[in-house]
Amino acid sequence: MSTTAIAIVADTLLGIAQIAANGYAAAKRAEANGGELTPEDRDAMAERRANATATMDQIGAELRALGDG
Amino acid sequence: MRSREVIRRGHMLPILLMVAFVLPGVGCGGDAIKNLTAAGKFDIAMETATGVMEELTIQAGYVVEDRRAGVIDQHEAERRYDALRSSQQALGGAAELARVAFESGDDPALLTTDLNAAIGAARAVIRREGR
Repeated sequence: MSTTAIAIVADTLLGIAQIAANGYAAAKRAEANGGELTPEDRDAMAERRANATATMDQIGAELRALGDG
Repeated sequence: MRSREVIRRGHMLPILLMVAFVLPGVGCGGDAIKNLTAAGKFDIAMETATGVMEELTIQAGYVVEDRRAGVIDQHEAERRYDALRSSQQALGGAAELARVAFESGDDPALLTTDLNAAIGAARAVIRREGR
């Protein structure tokens, strides 16, 4: 395996580890909060939904512009 | 090849990283998730809905990519985009309604069931219109 391939695999695994760590941290905060997510974690989720919608609108504008061109 | 040499040459690095970081995280996270209440399970459904909304956006990005590459024409690209966007709006609406109902004290178990139905519908659109 080349050094580059190892770096890519390691980077991917670290990314997965980061996601697992974030999920684990949120789950532990939920445990400490009586089995529910904290209001801050819920707000962060709502923000992600808002971002997804806003990005979708941007993509739509980009697509319509392709049609106009 | 001796094991020390395997490690030194980096072949074992991904496996070591997996053992060191991912598996304990998943294991401990699994225990923590088991301890969640009905409200916690509702939170997981909300997280899933959020992830699916993000996936719909990613799929819309692929539509533009395919249009640019000439794989699909403008009409088909707009049809696919509209289907993905409508689905995202429906899921976002369902998530927002569920959030308000949850904060008003509605039964989280019932809300989770409703939300999972909306998630299922959005996933069907991704399977149909996405890559």
